[in-house]
Amino acid sequence: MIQLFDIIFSTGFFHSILRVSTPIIFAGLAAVYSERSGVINVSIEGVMLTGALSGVVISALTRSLWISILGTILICVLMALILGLLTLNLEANSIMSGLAINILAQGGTIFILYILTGSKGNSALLNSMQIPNVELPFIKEIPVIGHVLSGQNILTYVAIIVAFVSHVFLFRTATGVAIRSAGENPDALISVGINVKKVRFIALTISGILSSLAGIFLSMGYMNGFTANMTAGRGFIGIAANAMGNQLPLGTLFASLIFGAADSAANALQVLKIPTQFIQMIPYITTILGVFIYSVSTSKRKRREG
Amino acid sequence: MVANKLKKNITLILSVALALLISFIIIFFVSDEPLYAIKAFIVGPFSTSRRLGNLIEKTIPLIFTGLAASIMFQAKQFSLIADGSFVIGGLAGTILALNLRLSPIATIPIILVLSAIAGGLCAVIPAYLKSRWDTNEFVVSMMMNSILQLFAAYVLLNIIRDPESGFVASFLIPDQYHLSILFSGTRIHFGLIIAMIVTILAYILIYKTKLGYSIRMVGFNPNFAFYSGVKLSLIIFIVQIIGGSISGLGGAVEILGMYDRFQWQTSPGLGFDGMTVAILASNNPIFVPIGALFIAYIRTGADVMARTSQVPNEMVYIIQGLVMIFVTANLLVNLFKDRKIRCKMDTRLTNSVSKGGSHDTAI
Repeated sequence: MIQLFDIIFSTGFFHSILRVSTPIIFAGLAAVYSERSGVINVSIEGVMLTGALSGVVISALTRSLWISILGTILICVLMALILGLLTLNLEANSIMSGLAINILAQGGTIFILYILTGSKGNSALLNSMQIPNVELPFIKEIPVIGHVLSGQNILTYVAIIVAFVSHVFLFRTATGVAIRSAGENPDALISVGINVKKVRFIALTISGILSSLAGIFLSMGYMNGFTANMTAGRGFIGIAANAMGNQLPLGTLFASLIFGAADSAANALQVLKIPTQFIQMIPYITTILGVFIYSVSTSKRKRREG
Repeated sequence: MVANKLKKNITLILSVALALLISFIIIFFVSDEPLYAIKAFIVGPFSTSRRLGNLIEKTIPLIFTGLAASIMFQAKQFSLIADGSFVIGGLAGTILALNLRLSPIATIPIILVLSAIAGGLCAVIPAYLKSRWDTNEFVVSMMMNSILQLFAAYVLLNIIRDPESGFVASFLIPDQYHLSILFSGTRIHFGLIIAMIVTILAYILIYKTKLGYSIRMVGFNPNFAFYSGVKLSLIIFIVQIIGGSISGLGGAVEILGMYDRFQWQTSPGLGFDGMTVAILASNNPIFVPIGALFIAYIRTGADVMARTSQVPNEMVYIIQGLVMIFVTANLLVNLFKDRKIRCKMDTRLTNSVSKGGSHDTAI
């Protein structure tokens, strides 16, 4: 038990929370944009997975981080736009189309990996690149916080910054307001002459960019290379974080950190002799609790208002 | 109406054909002998009686999960619990078969019924949260699947694992509890008959009973259903429990029909395939066996192809994803004609307004 407390109250533990939360923050924010605009985007999981593979493959082929990031973003945005095409133009059910994209991504990534490397498991044979960790110049000197905040992957900082920027963007800019109205009251948008579909496509584009960053982080930051199905449901946990965070960027950031903490705690709890399977359940149980608490609070609010 | 149905079937077949065509093009790019690979894929499943048997064996569990998905989709409940229920159904079937000591005639039905109940119980949390608090059933069922799978792995590794087995698997399921083989020379088992019976029952439930009518009404227009006196939350709950139960039954049938030991440390993923089956069947239970047969066919074909050529059998997921995309996109355009017209009006309105003003600068 004392051993456990030693782990939980160490700076390393909080350091790992930020690291583990990063893909969930990106995925959660991706969900915020699409759901705010009125499109349920289940495909985040598959887009992340594709991003994880394409980052590795492009960086191995071109030996350039920038080209691999830009190429991956391009591919992922394309996938998000396909979802838009299906749901907005062809009026397909968004959950079904999203799941279809996930199935495609799940099989397609292994297919491509096998064609390129002859392995169905991982990309160890590809000489891919890493997104570096950075030490923050002044913050590093602060005793405890410095240890937690400094030395993270660049994308971890990007994720946190994007959460704050998204807050300003969604609530303070015309485009942000348009995205929110597209979800809450599309008729109002129509009445002021804004094309709802166009707004939703913009939101999906942003959603695709964020999903791609989540994928890039997984294969080029969190781990060194791609492994089959490496997203392991993080896209869905991101959707849950968005629901729990009340579709607010900062709320989603906070919810993602809670999931990250549950995940890190699961690692720390392994020193107690609890069977690993039960420890591995913790993030999923937390997610259900989070979504549940959110829905109870909204349904109570609705009852008060209505 | 008849013309409409015909049109729907034609678009369905065209969608499937298009998906297959695209995958053949992919095979052309990745294979050294593409024609050989495609031939293996298409005629492979029929080449030997063993492979033909494989095809039918693979169809059986897909019928169960396909029925589970189509019943839930009828009420527009996008719960993925079929996957977790399938695993737990199989686990429950194994545990019961290992512990019950009655005559097989009495035991097998008891095992199947209890496994179905176990599968239904898996669906309780997402179903109750959705019906009572409007919690997103998609996210909750997804998380439940992971939890249930981990639970199954725990039980397998710590409670029912046979240390003498060379791989991670449960103790041997006694021979007398295996479902009997229908055709000698294959492994096609009695589960096929059970699947057919459940198919017919599901069809009767959806199209010939009051409950089924309510289920379809909830799916078609929940507001209308609510104001017609349908207990919305009850239907939402029941439909997911039925889905979980059918899938749980399927899991037990699969274990008792195809396996000597329980060995699913990770989910076989048949619950997810059930959704593709449901889409191919337009959520109509009576067409589910056909959809299941198709998915089993591309599975078997891809396995044969993977063994005889360089094309990995993940090709199946590409075909499945494409079929799902094409069918959902087309199907819904046809199903919701009036919605389409309304949306067209919306866009026309938008266009005329935006032509009048200069609000586009806002974006």
